Amino acid sequence: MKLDKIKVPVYEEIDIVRAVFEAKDISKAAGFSQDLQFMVSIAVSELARNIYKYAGTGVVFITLLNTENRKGIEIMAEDNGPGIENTGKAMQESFSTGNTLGLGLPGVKRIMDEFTITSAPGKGTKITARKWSKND
Amino acid sequence: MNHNHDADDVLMYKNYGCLVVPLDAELRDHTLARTKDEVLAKVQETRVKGVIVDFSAVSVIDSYAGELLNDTARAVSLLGATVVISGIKPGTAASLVDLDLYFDGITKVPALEEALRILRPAAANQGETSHET
Repeated sequence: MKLDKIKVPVYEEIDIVRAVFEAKDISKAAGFSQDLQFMVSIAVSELARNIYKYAGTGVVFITLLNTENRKGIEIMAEDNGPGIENTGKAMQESFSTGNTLGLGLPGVKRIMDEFTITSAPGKGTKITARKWSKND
Repeated sequence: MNHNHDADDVLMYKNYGCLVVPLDAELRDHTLARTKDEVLAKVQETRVKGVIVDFSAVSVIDSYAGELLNDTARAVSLLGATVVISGIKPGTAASLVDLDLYFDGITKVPALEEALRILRPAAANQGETSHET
């Protein structure tokens, strides 16, 4: 049976590579174009890396979404790390000022179609992002 | 070479007087950090005038890897060599823009051959055509 939900615990750097590998695999299986596979994989890489860098440990879930007329990939990255005090600032664009928290989150938001973040100091961070295939 | 080849080795070779660095499909953090050090050392040692960083095998570059490669390219140009980036794939290019990574000031070309064509005149002064690791 082909799994349509994969859990990648993040403890060390190699887990980022593993998460990327799984993302490529599942988005390929979902029939995503190669470009979309890369985009989802890059988003997974960013989110897994944030866990590794800032929270130390956490988990990334990659889920295949199947609706009546389209397919998608959901990435859920969750950790119990220090959390983000100001999620608004974390989502700020860096075009002119370069003054960001450096989490790459605005980039992930642009790559993906849907993006939500829940975080508070001491309460960890949970990010959910989805990308849908274009063929209806 | 006096050490065994393993997956962590930074692969690079000289071609038409240029240093070609074909990036591995999986960009591992420590490999990337070593790529920067080793490319800089090689440029210093061989005095090549051109360095080609070839992305043909790479599909996933996140902002960490992108910034490290950007730093590498800048450092190489400070040593007096010209850097050309080749082989970035469309899906990767789209994501790089989303991540705000443009490799500003660095020439990009679709394929390695074009990079060699651009850099050959600069490298010609050295009269080198050797291949080495």
